[in-house]
Amino acid sequence: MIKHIIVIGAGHAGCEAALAAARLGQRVTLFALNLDSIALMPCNPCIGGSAKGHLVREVDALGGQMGKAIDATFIQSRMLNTAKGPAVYSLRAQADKKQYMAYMKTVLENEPNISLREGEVVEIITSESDNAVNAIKTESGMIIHCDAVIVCTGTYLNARCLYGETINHTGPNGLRNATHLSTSLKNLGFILQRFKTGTPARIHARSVDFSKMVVQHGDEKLVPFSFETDPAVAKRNQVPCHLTYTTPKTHERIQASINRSAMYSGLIDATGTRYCPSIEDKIVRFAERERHQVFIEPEGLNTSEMYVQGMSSALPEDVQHEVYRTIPGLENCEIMRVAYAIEYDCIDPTQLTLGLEAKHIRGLFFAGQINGSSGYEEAAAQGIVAGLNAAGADMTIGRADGYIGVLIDDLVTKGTSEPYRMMTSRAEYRLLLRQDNADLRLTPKGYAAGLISEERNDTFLKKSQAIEAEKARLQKIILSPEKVNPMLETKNSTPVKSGVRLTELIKRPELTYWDVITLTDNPHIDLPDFMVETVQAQVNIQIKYEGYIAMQLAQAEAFRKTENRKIPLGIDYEKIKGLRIEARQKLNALRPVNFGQASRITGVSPADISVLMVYIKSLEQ
Amino acid sequence: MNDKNTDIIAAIATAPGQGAIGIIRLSGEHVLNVLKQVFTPLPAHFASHKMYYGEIVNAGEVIDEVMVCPMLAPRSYTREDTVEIYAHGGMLVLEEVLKVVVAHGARLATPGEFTKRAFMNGRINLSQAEAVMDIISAGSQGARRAGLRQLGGGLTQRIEKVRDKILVWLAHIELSIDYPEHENEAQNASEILAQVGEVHADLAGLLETANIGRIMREGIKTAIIGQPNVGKSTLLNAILSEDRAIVHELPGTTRDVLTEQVRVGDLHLVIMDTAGIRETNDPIEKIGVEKSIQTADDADLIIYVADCTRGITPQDEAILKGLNNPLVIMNKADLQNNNTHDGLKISAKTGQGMDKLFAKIQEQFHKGVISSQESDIITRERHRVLIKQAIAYVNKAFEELHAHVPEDLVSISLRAAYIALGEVLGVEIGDDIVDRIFAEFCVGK
Repeated sequence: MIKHIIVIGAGHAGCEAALAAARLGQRVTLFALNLDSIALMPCNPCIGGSAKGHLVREVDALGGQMGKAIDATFIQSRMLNTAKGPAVYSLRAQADKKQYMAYMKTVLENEPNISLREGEVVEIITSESDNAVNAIKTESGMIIHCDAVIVCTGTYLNARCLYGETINHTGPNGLRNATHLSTSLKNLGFILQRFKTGTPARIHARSVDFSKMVVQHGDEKLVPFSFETDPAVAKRNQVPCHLTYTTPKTHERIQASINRSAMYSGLIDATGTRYCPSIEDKIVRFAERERHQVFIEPEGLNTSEMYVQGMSSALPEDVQHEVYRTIPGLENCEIMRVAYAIEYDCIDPTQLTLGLEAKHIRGLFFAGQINGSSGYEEAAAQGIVAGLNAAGADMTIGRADGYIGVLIDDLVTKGTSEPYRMMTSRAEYRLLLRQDNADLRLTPKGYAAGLISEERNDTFLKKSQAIEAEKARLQKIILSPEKVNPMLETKNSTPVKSGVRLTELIKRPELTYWDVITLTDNPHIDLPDFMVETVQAQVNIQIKYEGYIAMQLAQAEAFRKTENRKIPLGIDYEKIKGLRIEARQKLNALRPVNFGQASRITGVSPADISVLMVYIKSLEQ
Repeated sequence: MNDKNTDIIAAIATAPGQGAIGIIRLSGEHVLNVLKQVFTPLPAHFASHKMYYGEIVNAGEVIDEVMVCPMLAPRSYTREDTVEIYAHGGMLVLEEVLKVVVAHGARLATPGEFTKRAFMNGRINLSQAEAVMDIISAGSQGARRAGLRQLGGGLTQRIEKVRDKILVWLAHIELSIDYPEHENEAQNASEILAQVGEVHADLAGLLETANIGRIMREGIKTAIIGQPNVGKSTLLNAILSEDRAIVHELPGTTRDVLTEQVRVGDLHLVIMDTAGIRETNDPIEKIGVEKSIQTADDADLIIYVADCTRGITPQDEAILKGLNNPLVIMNKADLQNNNTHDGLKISAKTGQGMDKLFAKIQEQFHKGVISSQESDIITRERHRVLIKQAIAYVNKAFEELHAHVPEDLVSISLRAAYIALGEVLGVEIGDDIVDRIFAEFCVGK
């Protein structure tokens, strides 16, 4: 039976959710407050970065859209962190915001199963008999029946934007906010939190003196986000970003007016994030620092607006003008849009399952900033998972299988007291969760769910077979010192005295697969050239870091065993006397589905887990 | 890493204290592989439920002359392959044997773990499940207390200091990974290399301490708590006089408390801070709530004495709130009283009810409410193993940095060292690294 799924909000979470559900054959109605703000990037004009780049690749590996969207619309691309280890390569691209939005809107419009609708959803209606979603109500009072709802309201619920003493009751960029749905959620039993984030000013390019700044160009050698994008096709002229710094004058000027910032005058009481502090926060908390970095990033090719990364603020307009002008290169800057802080409602995500469905209302899903996360990529990652689950696929991703798994598990198991940003340090098995192998980890899951086409899957299978074949081939080749030593000499690598396996040579820190392959034939791989290169890169990493990878694989295996030990539903934890009181309360509230999840709940000790194992065993007997 | 639910566990199975024979018990798949590495002479084949005579050896050195008995699954307590080693009873010998088996692939069992496995494998019936759960939870609390006791404030601080240094390294590495564009003043590799010697020395010093440990007398650490003039010292004397086998009174050599040892049935009580109890004979002396709780925090068994004639007063309630599973007794039952509190009524002066008190202590012990399973020796061994692990990981990180291994991979070793030291302190890693990054560095868009 085809389901009707309503997605509320067409930001990065809503787009992925709607596309995933529609591509699984369900009928989707996607509501946006304004159809001109689909896939809006209300803050920085960039996709990716550390850990976030991993998320985008994972969304792509599952069959999502974000990677392809940024590949089509980027204006600068860089791979960062290349010296710090294969697992933390960090892909980051500047987007042309308008093009990105237009691209995504076209994709949605061309998807036959999606109806785009402008309007505000004011209420979610459930059937009382079985605690399941059955309709929504629009602002005009129209009732639309449905089988599932995915709430992706971003920063729009009861949003207000603040700077100085100015309060605007709008969403970001002056767009209308949504003022009814919070009440509906509260009535449905959700605990609401109030979070805060912010954005810097946008300035006119002609007013910036770039000669006083450090220029940052994109990479010559392009690595796309999507595993399906050919870099030769995606290649284009790139535009630079620029780096400048705050000065002691900047700090003095801010200090003098700090009490007029909405952040310090008491206007804002929502919880801000440590991940993107305002410039006034930086000056107050890190008073000893002489300067802070400021990056000037273009917002697109057909606009002169520039994003001033590092200068998020809630200072009054007049002070913002003065403060920005203390920065070298910005002495004459024209502010086009002022910086502001934004407050919004979100829910306590511990009320959700690992599939992002409300534990107490069937068919009601949540994704994106409504769940307390921050960031476009975090939103998209949740969107695709919520969309798949709403469509009936059983999609959960473990912590050892993807950053998406870490993200969702952290949110729903531990909750968050501030906007949650993905970081590589949150992943226990990050050596396994590399951005280069996201397809190997997740494309089979995407295929099983029905989001990966047969054609893409065939190519994927060819690729993974080619990797194994090439590893096996190198493993078998043993070469004599006469053949190997000349190459070793040119690379300042210790000569060998007897025959050596090529895989052993690749493991040497000073050598790579590409050095070693010169000693033998090139592999014959029946794939497009750019994919051959990714096969080789994969072989290089897998051989080079084999020892470390094997160690983490063993850890991940042990971890999966506890994840696979299920906890039956409906346990009354209050009745288990051996549990400490705190553990009883936490377990009753969270209702974990397996022992792994239970063990990650704050306040549940290893002894509590042992007690729980015994209790559940006793139920089985 | 092995599966925590099936790997080989080891523990001293006999009650702490001096005895003619002590038993080390091991359980888990492939347990014979451990035995084969440490036992000589090896028979051609170990048969189940047969005793073998020989020696436990480590690197050629004989640790003890022993009998061993393999009991293969499912005919064993845990229904897994099990080995019991019967060694000479001195705690030091047992500790040595335990060290050797741990060095050869076993890990120290957590409190109640043998019983838990027995239960999980269906060895114990359903009605006993509750008792098993009691043993686990009481045992883990006992372990926590034993850990605190063993570490003391000074040692805890030393571990925290080393751990903090490693955390700073980790935060620097993670910062440079998660904020690649952030200008980081720290030169991670060179900075860590410069400090690694210091951290290594600190850890080596800690290992030394763990090796020597504190010479603490084994037994059930018992605290007698109560307000002034409720009869604590009378009770102490009554307990002591009941027992003809008082070892002797001695000033604590390693801790500034006086202890008494006394045997109650098959249990061995070490009554702590008897000096404190005696001082309360002075009517001016007042024991603060805090001090009572402090003494009690070290104890396996807390006997709380209240005055029958006064009943449980608000002050009593205030103290009781902070105590963990106290055994409440109402003293002076020989005097006129009309209180209805359901604590155990005794008279330390006349001896009335003392037999019930002893029976109650025994009952609680056997139910697992009191647990001395986590003895100081086990705790010490646990700490030693963990500190050794931390040293090994720091060494590994050092070698990796020298070999220019990428920072991300070095962080794996450092994180492992950090986690091992956290386990000594009984704390988990949580969001430490992320918190540290944001506390120390100004990052963000």
